[in-house]
Amino acid sequence: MKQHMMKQLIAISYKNNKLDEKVVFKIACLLLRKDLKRYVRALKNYEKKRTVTVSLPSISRELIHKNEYLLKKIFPKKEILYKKDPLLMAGVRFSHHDTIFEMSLRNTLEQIAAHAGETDR
Amino acid sequence: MITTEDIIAKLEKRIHSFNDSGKKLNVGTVMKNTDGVITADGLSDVAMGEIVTFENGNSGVVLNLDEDTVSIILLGSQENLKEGNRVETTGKLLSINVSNEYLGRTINPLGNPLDGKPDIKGEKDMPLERIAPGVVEREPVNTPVKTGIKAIDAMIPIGRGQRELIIGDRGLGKTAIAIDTIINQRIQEKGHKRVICIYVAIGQKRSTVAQIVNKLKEEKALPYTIIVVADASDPASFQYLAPYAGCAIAEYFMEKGEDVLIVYDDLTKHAWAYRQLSLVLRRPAGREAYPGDVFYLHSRLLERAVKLNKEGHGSITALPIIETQAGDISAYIPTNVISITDGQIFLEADLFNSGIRPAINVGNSVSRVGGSAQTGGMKSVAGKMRLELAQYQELAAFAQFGSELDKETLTRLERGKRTIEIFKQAQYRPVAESLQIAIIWTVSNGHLDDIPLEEIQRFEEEFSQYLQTRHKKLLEDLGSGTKLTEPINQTMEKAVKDFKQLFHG
Repeated sequence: MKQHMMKQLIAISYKNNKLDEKVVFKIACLLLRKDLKRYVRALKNYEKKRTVTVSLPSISRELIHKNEYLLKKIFPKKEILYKKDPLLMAGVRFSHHDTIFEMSLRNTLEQIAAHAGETDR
Repeated sequence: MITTEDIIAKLEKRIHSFNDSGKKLNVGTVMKNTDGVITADGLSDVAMGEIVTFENGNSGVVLNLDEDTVSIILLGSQENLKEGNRVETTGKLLSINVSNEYLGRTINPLGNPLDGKPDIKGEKDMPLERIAPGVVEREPVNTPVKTGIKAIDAMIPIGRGQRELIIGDRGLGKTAIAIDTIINQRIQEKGHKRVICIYVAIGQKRSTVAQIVNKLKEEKALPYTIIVVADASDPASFQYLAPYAGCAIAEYFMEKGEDVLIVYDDLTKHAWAYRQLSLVLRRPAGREAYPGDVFYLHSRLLERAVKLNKEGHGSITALPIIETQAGDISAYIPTNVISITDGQIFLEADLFNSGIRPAINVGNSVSRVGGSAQTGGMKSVAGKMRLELAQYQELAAFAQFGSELDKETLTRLERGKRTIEIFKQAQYRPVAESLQIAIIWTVSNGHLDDIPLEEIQRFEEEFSQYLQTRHKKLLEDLGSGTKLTEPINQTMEKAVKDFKQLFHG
């Protein structure tokens, strides 16, 4: 199956910006195994592209509510998901498709350790 | 002695100079692994040739950027690498951290030691892929690299900054020529910089590499030599990167003002490794299944051999080796590399089998730098040598018909046989330039015409010893680099006559 046909399948699998399970099931039954694998991978990629995952050390409704407008401005037309990650210690990490922006205490400490360990050039 | 306070002060200084910036990563997921080539999706911001790291701690280099996927060659083991593993970009291109500590060491293309000695502390990151110096930065080749092999130094001279190809079938002595050249750099000529040597073993057997290392150690050539090894059991990615790693190390020393000699042994196996990678990467196959850019593979490597005209900068001389099949120098890879290099040394099986070793076919061999890379002394004795040998070979073919020949032709034939005899040389026995000039002068002036052919080699050996013990001043004059003057010619004449009396008993 060609690339543009796969993109068309992805497009029709969504209704009102949400995944239509009935359509997905119908398409899945009609595809050969190899194309089905590609279809599933393409769906996952599409979901990753339209979703931004915000990882925080602790999640509070007040924090979400306070920053929701700002996040929607930074990431327009994207669905924002919140995830708890205590390992960050403090700060935030944004994951969008294949790009990760991390501004956390853990990252700062790792960078300090790497910087201190560098030899003089 | 470093105290605790010093360490704390250094750490504080480092931390104060730290600039906090958020981290931006580009990630992907491993989809498949085919013979050391990983296909990953994501990685939309990755650059060509960028290093990426895997979850198992290994790293790889990006070689293909497709529409939705990226192909990466592994630079480590494939253990624990699974589908779904995360891949991260590093923002760095493939480089090797070089320093003076590399001298005398045997390393792999990533700079890791293979000789069992301690890890090497690097000083400067040198990129493996680099654009060759431009036309304006170059200088004509005018300084010799003395191989210590009479046939080469006399008739196919190599200069610093030149690319001279060594080409021939298996087992004819290509590597032997390269190793003899490295061994000969042990002696630093007056007025010239030392030559640092780099031997890049691509796809060779480990036993062969071990023999070479031992030989260099025995001949005291290891202290100024670096050996980069990607042997036959290493993945194709290592064999592909090895010559570039060697060249990056050479450029480090060149930028410090040193002259470097680099041997690529051999580029045929390098082309095979690149073909393997390209086929796995599904690149379109061309002639003999090589990818379309196999010429560029070698041209961009060999163009980095240069003599720089900048003050304080040195040169890189390249000796690529190509193995032919059944003496076919018109095959794809040999013709590619012949058209890139500044000359070739062609080794022939017939000559080897008839006892002429090194088995150099002088007719098919050439150095496009020529006399510019020879000293005045060598030029004056060896200038007409190629022509005389070519004339001899024509006459020898004619003489086979058994017709009666005139005296002059017979003399020429006998002289030609003696010339070929003096160009025979044992392995690992490089000859100093002064002795080369002495023996070539002797044969070209007819002083060996009355010596039986089977006695020539013995004559040469004893004559060399005689000159070294009785005529040191003469040898100094011959090795001074200046053209031979009349007084020197007269001294040579007398020395030869005196020695012949002793030789004949």
